[in-house]
Amino acid sequence: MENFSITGSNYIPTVYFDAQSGVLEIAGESYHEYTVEFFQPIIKWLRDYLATPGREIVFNFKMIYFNTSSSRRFLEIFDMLEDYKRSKKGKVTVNWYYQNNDFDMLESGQEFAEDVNLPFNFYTF
Amino acid sequence: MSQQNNNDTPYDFYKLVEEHHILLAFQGMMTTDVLTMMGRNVKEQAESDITRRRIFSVMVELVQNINLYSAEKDYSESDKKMVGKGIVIIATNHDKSAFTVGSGNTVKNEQIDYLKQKLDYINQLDNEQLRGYFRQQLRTPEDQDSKGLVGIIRKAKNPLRYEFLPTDNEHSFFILTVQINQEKK
Repeated sequence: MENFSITGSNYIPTVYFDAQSGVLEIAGESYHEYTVEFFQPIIKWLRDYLATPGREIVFNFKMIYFNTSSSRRFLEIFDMLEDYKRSKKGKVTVNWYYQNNDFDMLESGQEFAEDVNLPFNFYTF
Repeated sequence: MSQQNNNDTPYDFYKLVEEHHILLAFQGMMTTDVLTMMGRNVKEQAESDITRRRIFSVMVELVQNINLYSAEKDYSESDKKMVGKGIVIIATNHDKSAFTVGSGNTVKNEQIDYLKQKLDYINQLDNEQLRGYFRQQLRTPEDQDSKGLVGIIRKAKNPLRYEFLPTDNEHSFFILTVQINQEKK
């Protein structure tokens, strides 16, 4: 499967999904007003990728900022990963990065961790 | 000559902005470009990181609210979409101990009850309840959720103040403001 990438800009995060290694990363800022449209190809790639069972996935979130609309899309991604882990023998680890002192960002990650059954690690960057 | 008698020269606006400690004000179409530009401006304000991030978050959600609820919309060439029109203001007090972020836009009167109900409900929740309510909103059908408003109150950590000023028989001007206290960090 091809890798997937989006080059970030002002309100768009950098996305790099490495199909071979299973390291998937979203980084930067996300406050696109039309997150459904923006995330659609990301979700589609992920759906195709998760069609193959038994993959080992490391999902890195290195966000500086995201709006509430993006929260919704992130939850969608977590739900897919959780489902993959449960029903397709997938191994999934989430690494949630937050900038030093950005406790709001840490808290957002902790809330997602409470919401889905996936192992979360928290790191500063 | 007649202009000097009006209170709308650039100098009058300048004085108004200074007197009210306005850091940023924009009125017009809330396009993605405008949002990005305002965001960059907020980030350049020399406040603590956490306060700056909170102001920025609140502003982004207010702009999206304008796009959602404004009764005045126009086609944006850059976004290739209809976008809402309104006003966004960020002001501070004389010692910069707090910031006020506010928005204003015209709404149809039939939306007032719906908005009031949501705002009043959110305003009486405590932090823990807001946290639960936000999670719940993320799983509510997208056109009915109020994650943006909940996001604002959670970042600002102060109640949402609102007002509806009648403009004509069918419309009112919806003002939404929230205070953000300066965090020392």
